[in-house]
Amino acid sequence: MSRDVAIVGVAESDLGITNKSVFQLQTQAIHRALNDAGVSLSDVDGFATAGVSRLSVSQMTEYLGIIPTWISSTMEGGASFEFFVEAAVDAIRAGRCEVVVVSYGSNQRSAATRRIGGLVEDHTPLAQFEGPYGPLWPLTAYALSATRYLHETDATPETLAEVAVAAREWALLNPAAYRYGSGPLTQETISQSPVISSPLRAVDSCLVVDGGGAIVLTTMDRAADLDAAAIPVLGAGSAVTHVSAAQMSDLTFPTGAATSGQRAMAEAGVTHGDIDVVEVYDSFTITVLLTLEALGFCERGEAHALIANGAIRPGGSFPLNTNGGGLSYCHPGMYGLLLIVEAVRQLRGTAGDRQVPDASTALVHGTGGVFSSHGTVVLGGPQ
Amino acid sequence: MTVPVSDATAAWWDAAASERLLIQRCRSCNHYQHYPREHCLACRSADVELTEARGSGSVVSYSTVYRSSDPSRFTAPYTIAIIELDEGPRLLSRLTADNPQCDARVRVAWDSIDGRTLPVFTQEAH
Repeated sequence: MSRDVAIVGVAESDLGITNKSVFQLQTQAIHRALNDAGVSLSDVDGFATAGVSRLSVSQMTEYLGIIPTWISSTMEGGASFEFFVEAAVDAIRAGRCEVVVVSYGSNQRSAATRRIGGLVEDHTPLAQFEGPYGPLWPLTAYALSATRYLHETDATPETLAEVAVAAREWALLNPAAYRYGSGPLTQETISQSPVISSPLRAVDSCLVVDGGGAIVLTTMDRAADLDAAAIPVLGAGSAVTHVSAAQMSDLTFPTGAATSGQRAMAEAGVTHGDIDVVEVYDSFTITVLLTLEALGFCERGEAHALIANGAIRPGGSFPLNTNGGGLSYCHPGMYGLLLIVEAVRQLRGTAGDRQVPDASTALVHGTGGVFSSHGTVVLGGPQ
Repeated sequence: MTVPVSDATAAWWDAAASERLLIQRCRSCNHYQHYPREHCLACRSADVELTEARGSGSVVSYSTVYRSSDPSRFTAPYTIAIIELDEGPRLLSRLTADNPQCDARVRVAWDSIDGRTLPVFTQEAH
């Protein structure tokens, strides 16, 4: 277990319906995260972002007026930010840079840029062989996993709903959550929620809102000189498996999550019992169930038992998605960075009403595409 | 929307236009795959050919879409399915069934969707 690189600053940008540009949201989050860390923008010599445009890093570093010595703009959907942490740790260890900012921002809600059919690029095999049939992308792909999962296992539509209900309960404790003041998710609300792509209803689907965030990573040596609590990166792992729905080798087992999870936990030297809080990508309710199984928190087909009896609700035995998740807190197109922000806050003990007592190890799992890309990060308690 | 084609897929689309479902077979190891590529995914041989599929298979999963991705092209509701052909490969398609079922047997049929002739599948009666 190596503890030589740490996250020393985290922040969200404004969230929800902001009427701000992507550049404004990114800059806001970066300044907030640097303030949180007690680090100057002038000290930033590594930078990673995705989703701004083509040449995302060039766009943002020009805007910020920095010329980093290490950059990454890997764009593999929502897991990109876990990949950035993995790569930033390596870059810092290799001496390519010392202070890395990873940032993201989206104004998809204000700018009304999200399309339910998704963005399909005509030249891809996905567009050629799946696009002509009119699947919603990514929603229908996740729905296909959900149908098969309900067929194969003892899970029921109520199992899916419990993921959404629990997320809402956490969001009611998080003033930054989009659904903070919306009240609990009731059975009546769920049953009246329209089915979009069966079996998934609107309540099974993440929010479509603006948002962003930033994190600051540096060496543990440098962190020792900062006032901020440094959260060590204990392990990371990544895997990418497919992009077309029909090319997923097993619709109910995202093998990429199993691979990235095993790598991250092995590097961290932890087992499942060591993990106090889990933040996994909840693009849809089914995403959570299959990810927990692939990460090995329970056997295949047994997530319904893992989440039963309020286990994943506030105060439950398996603290999960403690900010309210993409389902009820914020989902700004790509959510992976905000998973890390929440895990750091839990480990620092600064999560307010939703604080998990004595959280000292957290697992973050980002998912991109249609169970396509997977990045797992294990974080430790403050040093 | 135009169909983007490569040398590996042009023949597949030409056959589809005349309602023939092709599938790619490796002459080195007899592995079947879809969609067509330049090499076999199992043994990496470039000795691959397009051959006529039997047109039978089963439903791996399905989802009925109630909110069209593009109402000017697709009229909801419609049922998307992943079909596993008896040769092995899976493909995304449409399913016609009164009561869609996972693992149900299906046969290929042909439909015009968004002005293009596409293979779709019909669920067989039990």
